[in-house]
Amino acid sequence: MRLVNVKRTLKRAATLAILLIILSWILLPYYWMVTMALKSPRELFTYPPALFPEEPTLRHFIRILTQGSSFLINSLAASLSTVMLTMLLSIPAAYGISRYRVTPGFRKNTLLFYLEQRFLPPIAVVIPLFALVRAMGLYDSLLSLIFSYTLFNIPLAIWLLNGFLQEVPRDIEEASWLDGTTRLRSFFTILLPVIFPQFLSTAILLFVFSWNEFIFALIFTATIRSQTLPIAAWNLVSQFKIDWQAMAAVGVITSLIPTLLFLAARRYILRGLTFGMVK
Amino acid sequence: MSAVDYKTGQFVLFRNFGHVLFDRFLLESLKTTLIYVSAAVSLSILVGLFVAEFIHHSVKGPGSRSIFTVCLILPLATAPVAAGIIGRLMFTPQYGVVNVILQRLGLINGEILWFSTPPTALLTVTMMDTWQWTPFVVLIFLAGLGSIPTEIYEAARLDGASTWTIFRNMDLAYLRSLLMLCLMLRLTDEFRVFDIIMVMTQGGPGFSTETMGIYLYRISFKYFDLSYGTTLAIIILLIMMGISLALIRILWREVIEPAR
Repeated sequence: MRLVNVKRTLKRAATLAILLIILSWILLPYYWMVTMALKSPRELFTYPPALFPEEPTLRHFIRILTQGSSFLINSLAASLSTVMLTMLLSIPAAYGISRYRVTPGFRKNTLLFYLEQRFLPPIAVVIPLFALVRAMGLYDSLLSLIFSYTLFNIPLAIWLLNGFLQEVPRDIEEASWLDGTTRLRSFFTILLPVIFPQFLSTAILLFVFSWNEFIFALIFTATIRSQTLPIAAWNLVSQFKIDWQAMAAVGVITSLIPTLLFLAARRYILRGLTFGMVK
Repeated sequence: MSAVDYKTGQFVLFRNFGHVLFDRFLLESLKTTLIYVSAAVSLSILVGLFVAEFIHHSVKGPGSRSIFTVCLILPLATAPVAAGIIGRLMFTPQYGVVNVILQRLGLINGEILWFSTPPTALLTVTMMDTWQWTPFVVLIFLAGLGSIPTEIYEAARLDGASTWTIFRNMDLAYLRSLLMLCLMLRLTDEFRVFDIIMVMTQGGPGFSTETMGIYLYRISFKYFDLSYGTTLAIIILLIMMGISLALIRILWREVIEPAR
């Protein structure tokens, strides 16, 4: 009897240890980034590096937020506009695919066409897009980012919205069509209130993807007029003399908003990351 | 594809394609990409499978379960650029924490200069990428495992099935289609890896961590040879199209259609 107890305790201890290792493996990198951002410059140069900041300071954050506010504003502007433009274009498309009577073959091929894009590497199309951006005079402007992000986000948005719309039975609208309500009207008065949380989560996902985007921002922007936060990070990283703490602070600021948003929309994250294939 | 003849005529284009055949850097970057992709994909799926199995079988309470879910979402929300920054901060010799931990554990004596030798640089990038994307695999597998009815487990335990048997005959069988989905998504995502390598090593030391995407960037936007860059883009596109066209058909048949 006692032997069984000992064995069970050992097993529980081992389980707990592995769980702790898993947790620290996930969280330690964050911890280190935050610590680096909080350390005072004097502490940075101690060796071996201190695991806990003894005299934490917010000065690096303040420095980044005051000197680099344009990056933050650009990021916000580009992501928000992308979300709005993408939703504006995708909602009608998804509505059409899911609500109008089309042949199953047409629906399948349309969706597959959009799915193709999930596998398209942005780096492979960035040169033609670059040429286009230059030709349109959009180089180093937020519009170049907004357009290219929208282009790359629309397929995902259509897939997600289509998936969400398919889950709402047609009956609830059909009743109102019989009363003579137009499709547009019944979309706004009946469908939208039902499906609003899902639409909001889609918007959140699109926002995060635009916010985190790097390749287009790297190539289409040149000055603080249009550079976003990931480019601010890149500027710090590619300098000859690296400002480690500014780098850490930018990392924290860049990660903060997407993390909060993802946590808010966590029910739909997997759907978003797998094009709706895992629910 | 319409931009094929951007700035150049068709004649130059053919010369570019001829150049591809003798391009040592392209061959090197292909090799690096293959090593990197196979390492990152297999690592994230194996570790992901282990972690998902572990959490599924030993974390039962809904409260502690959601703690794990929240933690797992964090790396996914992080921009690859930020993940790269974290990698730099952790592995850099003088300021980094990884060497300190290894020293405390007694595994190494001196310092490992992670970014200075080709094998360790590639390893470092792979590890950071695994850190970022393993949670994705874990979450997918957890969703799949969650759909297994608990009665089956109880029945299997009553029949005296061992942990290993349960894993092989039940969990893996249930996860089959998700495993395939994961493999495809990871594979295609890793083939276009760019951000994290740019931030961590920029392709160096030398050109040892230069994947196809980074090579294309170097040619097109550092040397500004846009026409050869386009040629490289076409090659990348062809490879990806070959992979993805095959994958999408399988995906539709195995994952999307049955789910409707």
